[in-house]
Amino acid sequence: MSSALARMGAGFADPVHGAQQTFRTLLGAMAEPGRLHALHDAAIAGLRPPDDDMRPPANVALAATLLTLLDADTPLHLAGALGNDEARAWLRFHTGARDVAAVAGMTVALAGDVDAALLEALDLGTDDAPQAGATLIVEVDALSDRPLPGAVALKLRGAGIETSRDIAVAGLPASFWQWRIALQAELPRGVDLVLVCGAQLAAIPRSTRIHSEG
Amino acid sequence: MTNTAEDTPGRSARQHWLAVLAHAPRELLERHAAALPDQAFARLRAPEIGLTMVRARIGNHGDRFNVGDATVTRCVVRHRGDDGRLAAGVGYVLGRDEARAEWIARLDALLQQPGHHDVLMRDVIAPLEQETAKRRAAEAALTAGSRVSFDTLASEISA
Repeated sequence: MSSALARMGAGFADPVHGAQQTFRTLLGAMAEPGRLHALHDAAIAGLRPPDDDMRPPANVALAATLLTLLDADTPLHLAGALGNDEARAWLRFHTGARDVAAVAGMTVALAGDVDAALLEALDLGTDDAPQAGATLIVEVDALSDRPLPGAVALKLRGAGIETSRDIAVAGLPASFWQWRIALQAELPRGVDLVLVCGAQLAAIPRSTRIHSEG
Repeated sequence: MTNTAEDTPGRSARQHWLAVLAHAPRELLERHAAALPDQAFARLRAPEIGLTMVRARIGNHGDRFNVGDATVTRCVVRHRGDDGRLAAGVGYVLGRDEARAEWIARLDALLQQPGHHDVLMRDVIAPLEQETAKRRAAEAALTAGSRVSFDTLASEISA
């Protein structure tokens, strides 16, 4: 009985402080677009359990971000490697959030392949209510502030950046960045992007302009 | 909460022992829980205090209404048996008592382990149930003294 619960992945070791510390990191990441932020070791301790079968169904930074941002009222859509029953049950148990089939108006989290149809379906909000735009949380293969072989090099400008900031992102196709650059004309409508990798994360909010890629 | 398919040893049996544990006196529960091995348990959900809305119907029928908020403490632990078998136990208690919720969760997890079930049913659940029954009987006896019977009135109306 309760077999699914018996195999449930762990959450934050200390839910209150884990979520608060991760939220502070996310806040810093949003305020300084493109800068890499490492999550506090204390915050993510519980997400690396010694017991293998208590491991959460997502990597550390992705798991911490989801546990921090979601609650029962968050419209959520899981895609890619996260679009499975294990991840749904885990988020439902720890945050109360339910995965919804429709993509419109959702906070979307995904690991792995970025689906072009999914990007097109994302809600950008309206000029009157730009806050209704989606937040896209994507797990990428690598994140660095230096050029990486095989990674897309981005030069970011905009609010929170003094002149420009460089970031290299591996694991997202060129079409994804073309889509993101095309969205810049829509401001204040748009999608806020959180990139996670390992125990690190970086944010590219909608106000950030991506100037060069290659 | 995640609802999962319930099978052996049966949903009603588990509801029964959880009800017994939730109503058990604190000091008895503490004594039984103290005897459990500590290292086999992992916390899935550390004890947390929250509110739940208590709803009722007047006279047990009629429209449902909100009686008020009640504090509830809940906890979920996982037990790994010697044979590697996993069981998740949940503890819900009325009020703010984190230790009690965790004791109940641990006992619930162990009660789902076939190796521990019979012993615990005999040594923990049965005595706790008797204790609760005794306490309820004493309360019932106390209130029975002030009971007013309306038998006469009822028979006159029906006659």
